[in-house]
Amino acid sequence: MLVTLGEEDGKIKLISKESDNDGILPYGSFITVEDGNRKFILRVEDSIQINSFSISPMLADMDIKPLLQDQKVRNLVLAVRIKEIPPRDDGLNSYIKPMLFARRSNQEEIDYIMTNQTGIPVFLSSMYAYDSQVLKDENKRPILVNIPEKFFFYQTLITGATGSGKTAAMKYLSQYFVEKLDTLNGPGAVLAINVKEDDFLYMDKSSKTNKEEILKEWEALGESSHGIDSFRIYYPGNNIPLSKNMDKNKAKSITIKTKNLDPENLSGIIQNLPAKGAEQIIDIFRYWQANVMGKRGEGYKMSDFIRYLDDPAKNRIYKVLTANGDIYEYTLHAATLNSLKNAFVTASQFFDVENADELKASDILERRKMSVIDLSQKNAIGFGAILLRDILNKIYEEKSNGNSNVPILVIIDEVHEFYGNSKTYEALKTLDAIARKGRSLGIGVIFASQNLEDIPSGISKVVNSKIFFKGYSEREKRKIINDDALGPGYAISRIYGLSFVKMIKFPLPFGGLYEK
Amino acid sequence: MDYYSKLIISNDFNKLIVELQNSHINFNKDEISLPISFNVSDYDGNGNIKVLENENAINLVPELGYEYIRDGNRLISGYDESLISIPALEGIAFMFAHSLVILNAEKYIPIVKLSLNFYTRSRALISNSTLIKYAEDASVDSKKDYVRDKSDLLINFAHHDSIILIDGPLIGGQVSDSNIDLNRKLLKKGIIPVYIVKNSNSSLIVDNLYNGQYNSDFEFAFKTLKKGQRTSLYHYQDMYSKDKNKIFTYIKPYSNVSPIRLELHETTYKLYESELNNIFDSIYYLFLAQGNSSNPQPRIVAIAEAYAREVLRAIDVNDIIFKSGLIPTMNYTRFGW
Repeated sequence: MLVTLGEEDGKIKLISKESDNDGILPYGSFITVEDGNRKFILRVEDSIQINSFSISPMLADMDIKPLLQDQKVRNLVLAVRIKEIPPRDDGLNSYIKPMLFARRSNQEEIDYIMTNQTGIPVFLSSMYAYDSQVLKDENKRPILVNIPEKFFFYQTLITGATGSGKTAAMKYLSQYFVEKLDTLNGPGAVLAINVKEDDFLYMDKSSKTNKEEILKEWEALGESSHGIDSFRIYYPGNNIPLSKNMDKNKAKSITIKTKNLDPENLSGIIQNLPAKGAEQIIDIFRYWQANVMGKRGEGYKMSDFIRYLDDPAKNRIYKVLTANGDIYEYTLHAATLNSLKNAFVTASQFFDVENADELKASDILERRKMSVIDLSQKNAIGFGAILLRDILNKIYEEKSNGNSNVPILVIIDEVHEFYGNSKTYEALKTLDAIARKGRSLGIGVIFASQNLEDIPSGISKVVNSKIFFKGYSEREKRKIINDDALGPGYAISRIYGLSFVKMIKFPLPFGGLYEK
Repeated sequence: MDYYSKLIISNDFNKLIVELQNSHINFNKDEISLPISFNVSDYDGNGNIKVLENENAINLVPELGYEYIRDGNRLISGYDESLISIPALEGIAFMFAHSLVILNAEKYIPIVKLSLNFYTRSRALISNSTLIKYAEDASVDSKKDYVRDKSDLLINFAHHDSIILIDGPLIGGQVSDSNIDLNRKLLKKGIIPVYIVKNSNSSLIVDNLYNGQYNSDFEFAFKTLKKGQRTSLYHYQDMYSKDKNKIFTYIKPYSNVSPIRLELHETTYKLYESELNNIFDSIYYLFLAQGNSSNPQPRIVAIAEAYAREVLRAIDVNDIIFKSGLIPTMNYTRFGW
């Protein structure tokens, strides 16, 4: 129980009653101030313990004990107003008078202040010093809040270090999307790009845990562990993932046929080249595809293109075909040619693979289905960048043309691997376009990375929601709160449609979780 | 006796505000004082001094004091007060906060009484009012009201069989008789009043025992005592009134800080002589717990003072004046204490 004291720098100041002073109300907690029939919901911004009466160190000097009365501490809280209930209709806000009683808000009140009461349930959470915890009401029940489903289509950025709960949160969101999504005649489809270990490869399996706290969380959500019914893993070429837990029957080899490859999609593989060089190789490839491939004994494969590039007789002079149809000659710098050759040689094992199919938009755009493209194998990233661009183009086209009304969520972990740095920002510009138009097309993208610094600046401009797990930024100096203190699954949130919530905890996913 | 903190507002508080309003008193808003402490002057005395103990400097044992308090042999409480003066063209108002803080087993329990009085020399003004008081000298009359309110609070709310540490001398100024009367009433309830005197020019010991050696008793005590010691008990016998006989000792809770006089009425001493060492040890412990050498006070008294000031700060005097329709006027020389 707290008592209001007044306002200080725009924040309401409260102090705990000495007679009812169990502990410190952590940052992020919600409290309700009651004034007759009126209620105010406040969020705790700062919370400290203060001594009711200052005590003299003289006693300690003399090894004499203090009086119990002098050891009494109180909780001083600064909180911001979130909502007044009921709202006034005269354009004014009511005063929060001094000496009003306040208590922890309950679920009903939290539900009331939500503009959208349906959505993805997560736990409200709070932090004090190095301790993060789920917010509880006065009856010790965890308080849930629903992220509005629309948030998916306003694009999301998730950052956090290994073990921070970042991947588990993405799994949780994926499972919601394919099982529960209600908007756009959902459920939808999920495409996740798996770049490290076997994080996303067993989403079809029930999560296994004996941890009491996780079971309790699921119980609070009315859920139990279960995997995703419709699940498929796509891996490039012959590189079947080595995951022990994966169901090999659900894994399918994919490839790209060089003859079908859109030259623009090559930009993914050549992201370390200067922009000019990248443009030239696309135009060289375009010329090769139009005028050399399959003619006079030339093949249709990527290896044929590499041989073409590597022909010493060309003396590094190549014909180019621009997107406008112009043809001219261009000399590649020796070093540029060399690094290009290496990139193409590395990726070539994944092109034109026999018995492997090309991935189609319809493979992905299937309601209730989660598809994972596995790029965790060695050297797969370069090809993955081309593949990703290819499939995203196909999805974008399919949706733009109105051929599919299936909402889709694309999850790209370690996004910087594909997006490159600011110089090669063009590399995945389709993703950018998708992110910008996602709302109207029903395409949501989650960009994930370990560090905030790895995220290309362009992405920050297209995302409306940001979720920061532990270690989200090593270098950001002016942190709002100490993110190092965030426990697994706890995140600082700036979520579209949920602006008053500062800290949340994601429940663990019902599928795809195993104890490492 | 219950154990709840209270804020008691005197019966006539609101009625007086209405009467002030009806009388169109012109208060001066700028002259309202901040809460200040109230000091009754010490009694210089006229009588004999007898030394009651052999030692000149006696060690106090704060550990024993701590145990005495902790074991709850007697509840300990503290009393202090604070006041605000509000001058007007027609007279002056004094708002007093009398604060009694009881140290019970778990916490400090404050009981604060708030009183308001208005004094004037205008007979015309009092003819239309039952509560506005006529006073030739407001500073004298207000002291009488002060000691009456203080007595009411202590007699009604101090706990039976407790010890009360009261800030200020037992005997002094125009309030000696009332104080002695209060002391008697407290003793009847089994309460042990101990008076705490921080500053004084008193020279009873020096004049009687060390003539010419020291300027004052405080100087004598300062030079005689080490930290954590008290002087012998002294018995003062007044030449004119037996009622003014008292027992006192000086204690030095901190180094290089002026000592403090603790005094009891003679009757108190006779009744509770055997407990005095425990009480003095406890008081020394409370000085240490407070630990403020620039304003040495037993902790419980310091907390009583803090509550008294806090209540006066919490009362928006401006608001009361404006709500009562009283109009502030031009600067006016304050009629102070």
